[in-house]
Amino acid sequence: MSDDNAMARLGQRHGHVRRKQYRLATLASGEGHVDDLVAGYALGALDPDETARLEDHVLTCDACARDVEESRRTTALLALTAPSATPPPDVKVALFARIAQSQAQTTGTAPVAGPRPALARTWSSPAPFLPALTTTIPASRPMAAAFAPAGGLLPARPSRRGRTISAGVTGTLVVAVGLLSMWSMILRDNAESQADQINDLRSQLTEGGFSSLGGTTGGDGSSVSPTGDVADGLGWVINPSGTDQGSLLVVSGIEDQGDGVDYDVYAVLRDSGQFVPAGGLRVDASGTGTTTMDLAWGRDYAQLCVAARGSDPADRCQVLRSTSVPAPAP
Amino acid sequence: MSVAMAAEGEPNLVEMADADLIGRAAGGDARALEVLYERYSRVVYSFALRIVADPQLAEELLQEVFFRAWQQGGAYSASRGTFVTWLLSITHNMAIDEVRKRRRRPQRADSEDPEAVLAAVPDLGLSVEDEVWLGALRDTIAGALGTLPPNQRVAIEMAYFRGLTQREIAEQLGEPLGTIKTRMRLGIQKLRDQLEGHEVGLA
Repeated sequence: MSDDNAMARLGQRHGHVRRKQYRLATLASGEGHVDDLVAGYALGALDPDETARLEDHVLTCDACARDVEESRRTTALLALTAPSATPPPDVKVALFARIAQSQAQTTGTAPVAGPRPALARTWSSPAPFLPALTTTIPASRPMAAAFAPAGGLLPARPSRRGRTISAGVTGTLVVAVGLLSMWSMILRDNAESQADQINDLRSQLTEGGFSSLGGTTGGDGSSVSPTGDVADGLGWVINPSGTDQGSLLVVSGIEDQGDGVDYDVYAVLRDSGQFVPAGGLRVDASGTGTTTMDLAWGRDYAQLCVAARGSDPADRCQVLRSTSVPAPAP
Repeated sequence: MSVAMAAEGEPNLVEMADADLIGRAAGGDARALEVLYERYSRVVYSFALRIVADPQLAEELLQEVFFRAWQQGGAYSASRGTFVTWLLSITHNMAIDEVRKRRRRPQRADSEDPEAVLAAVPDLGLSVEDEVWLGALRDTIAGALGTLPPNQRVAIEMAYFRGLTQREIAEQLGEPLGTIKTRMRLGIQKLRDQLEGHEVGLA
């Protein structure tokens, strides 16, 4: 970087700080201090408070944002110095089986080769919130896996023993079995009454070894409240009235992202991939937090995820589970 | 499963640029993601393995990284770097998180030696495609790293591949924190200067 460029950045930042009166205290030690953070940030080596400070700053400082991006491009190059190793083929098989399953879960259709259709709202359930519950708790999966965050390291994959089958055959089988189980679940879900589904959910939670489930089922069967000490999973309190906000979300199993205890929940729009802030939550030592979601219903959300406050959700968001937020009641 | 070939009247995905492929994948085209997987799964896996030194965990990370790319592909912006830079950034964050979690847990006395683990993982050789871009680029990067003073290089590698913070590195090396920060800053700046114009990616 030339001295001229450095001076230009310096002037820009000072101007920016004066204009915005932005974090004067932390920047008071001078621009060199901010520069100090960029390399450490690109290497992932900052303390959480430093990370937050830099990320706050680059939100409003284009020159620093460019500086960070350029450093990150350089650090990404370092990844190539890792000794070459070849992954076993069954990783690919498991990955695409999982993708096929997520497509089927989301759309209620077979995996498609072309552009994904808009979310098919074919779940003509008496209460529109129920599909979200039933699709997010696939009965075909063990409860421990069903409640593990999808972004965690417990992806659905064949066991070591299963790897002896040839990759191509395994892939076809896994996808086929996944689709069949999904279709059977969809058919079953549509056939069941709302009350049955709620009871199913509650019994699945109980059978899964989760304790202290609280909440109630409303007189009209329109509220499901598996709150409380839900270990290693995702609990929902769904407000099914179709209003725009107020769904209480209880999340556990959140990974420590090393950036403190404050996290934000994001919903990811399916069409644009945009991360929509859906509420903040404070995560306790066990990785559990609660928030009241402030999220417009009727949008097509692909998933919910959680990222440490101040971090870039595109990079850091821990996907909780593939889910759909249903359309509001008519 | 094999990489999708172009059917009559359809675009040839294999010839398509990364940014276009991830765009298609974000739109629900799993074949586009498959092409990206074929291009970069080895790079992602090798990188993850380098950090976590555990083949099974590296396999899980590989699957998770591409699954996230599938789910969050719409968040990728070409203006912020190549697709692979984005992918490797996700890989780095996830692998480092794992390493840090593991460090907080008590270590088993019989934990395997990371170097031995890395040496034991087979490398089935480079594809022709790999050879074209990866081999040359790797040499360039290794050359640039080789020009750094050893203490700058060590600080960078301890952070990037072992997930240590600047503070932890300072403690381990018995150096002032400011010294470590300076080494990183100077080292990254020098690498940036030398590697300007280079970026990871086929297309």
